Amino acid sequence: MTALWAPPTIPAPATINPSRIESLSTAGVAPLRTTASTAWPAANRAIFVPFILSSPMLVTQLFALIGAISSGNIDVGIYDRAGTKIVSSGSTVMGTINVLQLFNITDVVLGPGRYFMACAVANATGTVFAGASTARRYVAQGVCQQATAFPLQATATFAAAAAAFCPVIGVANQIY
Amino acid sequence: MGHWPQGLAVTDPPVHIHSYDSLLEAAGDVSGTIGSVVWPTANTAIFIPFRLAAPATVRKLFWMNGSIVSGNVDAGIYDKNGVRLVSSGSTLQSGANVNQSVDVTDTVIGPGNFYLALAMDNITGTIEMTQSYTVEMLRIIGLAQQATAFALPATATFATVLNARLPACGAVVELASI
Repeated sequence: MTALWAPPTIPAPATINPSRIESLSTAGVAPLRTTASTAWPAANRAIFVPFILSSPMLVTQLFALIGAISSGNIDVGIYDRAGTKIVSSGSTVMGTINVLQLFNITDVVLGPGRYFMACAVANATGTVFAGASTARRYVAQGVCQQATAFPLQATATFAAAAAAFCPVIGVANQIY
Repeated sequence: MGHWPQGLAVTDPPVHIHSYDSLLEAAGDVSGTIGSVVWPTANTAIFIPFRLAAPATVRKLFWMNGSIVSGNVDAGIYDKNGVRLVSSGSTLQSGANVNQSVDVTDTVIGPGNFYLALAMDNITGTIEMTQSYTVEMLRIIGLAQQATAFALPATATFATVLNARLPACGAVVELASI
């Protein structure tokens, strides 16, 4: 049967962060302007934030907004919905305080579907900007975590988020 | 022929920094305080991303004047590669505390990713701006700038934003009939 009408395809944006419509998109939960510098909740914990693409996106950079204290190493990546790592930066020295840290990765085209942006930090001293809604709200929105996951593992074992903490991380085609 | 109603969307909501098509979806919300603020640097252009899921005709471009008007403003729309698609041209800033709009050549754009652009040739006149985001947050949501870009150039060279100022501007668009 031929469809009479199909919704328009929404072009992929240039950048996706947890506050975007493709991700948590949650006014009152994680609006970007309300995020603040926060220590990573536990050493070696990985946090996974879901996002959805309705059209292909060429990803060339990953990013994390570093907070007021920089310490140790950080790893950012992308996973598919089944927990398979697609790409990651690998362990990288945490960048300059209060500055967006960009990670140039091997370019990857993500097709329409569900993914997770991921971040792990090797200690609980370094900070990133983060939203601070309740853990159960983040659980309801699909945020996951994994203990002892630094650097990011080839296959993630997702567990429910346990902290009121959603890092400002993301995937991008181009950030200026 | 589809059964979807024809001729929809004769008058559509404008694309504005607060609209769904632009930063509302990018930042979770843009309800930070907006106030009358001088332009950060004379002749600098600021580029604000938005996207369209369907073709639309751009009818007008607008910005929100602050409490002091001075000199000239240029508003435009660029594609994601920095090619100017339409602009107002240098326009005398007129009317304190009002939304100033300029009719532009009707231009069909989309679907795709675009930038609203605004430039000002002085740092005396004011525009309503949000200052609730840090420069790094503005980078995350896709803003860019270009120095020495008044009037708006045919081709933009996007560079990192340097000021935590997000000007209130937008476009009046009419979505194409489905």
